Amino acid sequence: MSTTTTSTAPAARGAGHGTPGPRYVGGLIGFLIGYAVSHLLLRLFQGWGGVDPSYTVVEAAGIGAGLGPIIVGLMGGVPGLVAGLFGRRVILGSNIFAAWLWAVVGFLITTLIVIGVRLAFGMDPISLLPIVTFGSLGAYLGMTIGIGALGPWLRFLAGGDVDLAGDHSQHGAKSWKDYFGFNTDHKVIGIQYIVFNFMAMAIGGMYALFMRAELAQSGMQFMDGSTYNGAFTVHGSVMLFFWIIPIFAGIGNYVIPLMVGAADMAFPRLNGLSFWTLVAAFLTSVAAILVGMYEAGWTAYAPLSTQSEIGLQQLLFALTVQFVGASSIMTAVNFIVTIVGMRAPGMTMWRMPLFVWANLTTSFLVVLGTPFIGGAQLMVLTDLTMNTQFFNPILGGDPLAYQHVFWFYSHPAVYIMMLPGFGIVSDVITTHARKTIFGYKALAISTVAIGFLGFAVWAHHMFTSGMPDWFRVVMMFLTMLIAVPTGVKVLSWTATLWQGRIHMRTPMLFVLGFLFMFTVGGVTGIMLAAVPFTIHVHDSYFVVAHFHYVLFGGSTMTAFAGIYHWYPKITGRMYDERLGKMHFWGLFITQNLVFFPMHWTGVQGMVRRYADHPERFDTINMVMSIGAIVMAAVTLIFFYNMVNSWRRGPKATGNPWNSHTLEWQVSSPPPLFNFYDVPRVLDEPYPFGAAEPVHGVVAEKGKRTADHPILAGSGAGTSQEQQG
Amino acid sequence: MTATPVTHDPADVHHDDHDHPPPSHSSSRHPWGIIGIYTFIISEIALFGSFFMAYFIIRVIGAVDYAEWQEAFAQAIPLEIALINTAILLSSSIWIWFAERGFKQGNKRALVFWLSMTILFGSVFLGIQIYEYAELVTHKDIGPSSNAFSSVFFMITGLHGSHVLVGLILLGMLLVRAVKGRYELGTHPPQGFMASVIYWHFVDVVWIVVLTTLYLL
Ligand code: HEM
Ligand SMILES: [Cu+2]
Repeated sequence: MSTTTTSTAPAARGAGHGTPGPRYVGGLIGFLIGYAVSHLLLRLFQGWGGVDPSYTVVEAAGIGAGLGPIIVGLMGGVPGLVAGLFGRRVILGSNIFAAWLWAVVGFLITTLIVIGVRLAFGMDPISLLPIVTFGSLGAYLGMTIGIGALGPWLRFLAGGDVDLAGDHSQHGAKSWKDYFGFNTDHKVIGIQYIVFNFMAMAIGGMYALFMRAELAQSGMQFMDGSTYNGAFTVHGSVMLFFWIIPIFAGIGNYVIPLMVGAADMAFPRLNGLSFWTLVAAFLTSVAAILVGMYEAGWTAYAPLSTQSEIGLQQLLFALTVQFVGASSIMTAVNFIVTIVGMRAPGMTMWRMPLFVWANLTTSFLVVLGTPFIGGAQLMVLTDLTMNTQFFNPILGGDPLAYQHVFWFYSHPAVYIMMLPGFGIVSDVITTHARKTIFGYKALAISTVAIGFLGFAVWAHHMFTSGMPDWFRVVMMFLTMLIAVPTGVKVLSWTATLWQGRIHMRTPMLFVLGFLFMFTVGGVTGIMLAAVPFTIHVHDSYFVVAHFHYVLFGGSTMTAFAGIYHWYPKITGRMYDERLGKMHFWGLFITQNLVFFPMHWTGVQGMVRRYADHPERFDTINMVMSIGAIVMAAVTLIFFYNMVNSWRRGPKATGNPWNSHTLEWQVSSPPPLFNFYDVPRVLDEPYPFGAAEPVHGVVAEKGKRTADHPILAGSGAGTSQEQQG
Repeated sequence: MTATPVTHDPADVHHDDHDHPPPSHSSSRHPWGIIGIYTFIISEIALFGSFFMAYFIIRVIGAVDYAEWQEAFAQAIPLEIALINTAILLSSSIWIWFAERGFKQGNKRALVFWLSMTILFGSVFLGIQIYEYAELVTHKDIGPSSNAFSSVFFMITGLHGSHVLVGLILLGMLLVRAVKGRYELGTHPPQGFMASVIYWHFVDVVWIVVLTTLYLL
């Protein structure tokens, strides 16, 4: 992060206009207006939503009454203050304050339009749910305009003379402030994603702690049932939608263009918009929590989610899903085009790093699958707002329709959450074991095979929901079939370790931990696929144990592995190895402490999604709760390590792990446009142990790739197919 | 993507790196915008697919006797109007093909005329659709909340209608650019133009599926 050397911009900023007097008055007025407006809106919505006005998330979290509305007031007050102080420069500039202000303006304008239209058609003008629906769309539009995401597009749309492809005006970060604004540089966006996702993980983890506190003993401790419902719903949704799915989009954003030898993603502006759409989704979700918490589970089954008592919250949940889905799809399209269309010369499909393969497959799953959860929640949305009857059997609907459509996305979604992790594992394992990956093609093909099969097994989540017997058998068989490509992977990784020179660095530890945890989760998955068994343990803690072994022990551990592995590349500094190892061992032990006993309690009949449990499970639940607290403490070590090493860690070289893929051939962090010339790929991605191991060559600063000694010397510049 | 050097304001130039990307390389025969629009269309098909899936489950697997409503509904929505509308929408696909040809031949007048025709036909389609809605709601007393079938009907046709609307906005953009002379005519149209055209054809094809499943079957 370089400092600004030209003085014009900051000088103009400092000088401001006019005397300080009116400015402070403006700031004060801005603050008051902002505070009042947001306070009022909160009250209004709570009143309309039929929520006890004193209810806020803060109270739900048990942190004392009355704080919530003040926080909400400040959310409007602070941007108002800044806008009042700096006037036009903030209001019309592209920054988060402008985004916030324009979001509110967008919300109010659309609200007025809705009221007007309803008046024109002789309907009751004030109706909460339509206002919230259209209002959030208006707010979204306002926010994206305010942040500066749409500028060139809007000018293009109006017929202006804009060179969309050659537009690099918002590329790259010059200071830390740029990370809080709109950017088109995939490296900046990657960091934005990753930091945002870790924040979401911390929030999701907080809710997990609330639940563990409630469950530590039998009997009700400090929540009521409804709050508990809210807690597990928020926990699940935040962890899935804002942590595990987007963290891989974040890591991919940073790494994929570098890996394929491209200067950026194919559609940089769309990429930035994806990130800010995710932020919009998050804010929508927070809004739901503020007006009373959605509590129908992350699965949000109809007709539970279409009940009017929790209508407002579920509506906001449905909108959250729409935004998350849109963000995912935009990113996936971007990844696909980047990988298909922007690979460096010589990088054939079979020379792509396995993380690229994983990302490509995942992106197709997103493109094909995500619309289904969008569709399912859109039906919930219209059920709430327009009283449609999709799930009402009395008028011909079918509640199972929701489950089918939902799981048609949500089973492939578990691979959206897992396949990128598989890719990371492959890259990490070969690098830190100093051995070429065993069965490259098998790994690539099994990834694609899992992707295909993933669409054919959705109903294994509905074994107890009612379906014909023959269908159960088909689903059971196909589900078990997925174990074959998955087993191929585990075998390939293990074989890669065999006789490798294993460096027990933190990323490698996480990968080994993953291998253990995921194998356990995979085995319980097979058990769950067996219809007779699943009927017994369905909706019990056995299922909770299963999906935490695959999601936490599996996906989350690979995300950590990836973060540690690429940390030097992203920050230009080395993390603290000792703290990293502490993090790993702490996490590995506490994870098993928290989740392993759940297998047993589940089989014994402890039911999922209940705020209470029989006394006979007291001891074991206390153990799990203590484990959870230790786990949170261990995670703090991780955060400390990340932040502290970024500021003070030793500088990293371009290639600290002696890896061969392209992202390691440039400096850490990479130059503004990644490469000084288009790189040239000559061989497979993991040529460990070859006499002259080269995957690809990149240009030095100011030079051409063709000038590289390898290419110039051997004449390989003309023949890409030469073996290195 | 062309590697045009970008102009920067002074605050930008201090960057120690180069300030424009290296010449870009394409590893595909197709322009990125075209790959992008096809990928996006896959996702759109899936979105429609989710509602058709719900429809299928409600109608085929659902326990309720369907024939009764089916009959009532078939009487309520006049098939003739739907067929006329189909003809209108499908012909617009032909007009846009003429527009594309005009572009390639460097004939600005043909381009503008046929683009306008496409937009006109698309708008008429939307208008008739809205008229049909109004008929159903006001005269036949069938709305989105009447029963599961009407919910599906309004949802799918509404979704399709909103896609027509988006298509019209895109075509409007092309028209403005064509009139302003922003295009280099007589060449192959740029990605943005082709992407919009592909999108329009997609909207038409989806309509055929909608017509077959909702009106005919
Ligand atoms: C070997 C592969 C896997 C198999 C055979 C498998 C099988 C199953 C089955 C049959 C269920 C339904 C249990 C029930 O409700 O009765 C289930 C639930 C679940 N699985 Fe897996 N699974 C596998 C891998 C994964 C992976 C990789 C993830 C995520 C990264 C995952 C996440 C989940 C989640 C979140 C649920 C709970 C869904 C709910 O809320 O009901 N699974 N799994
Ligand atoms: Cu599944």
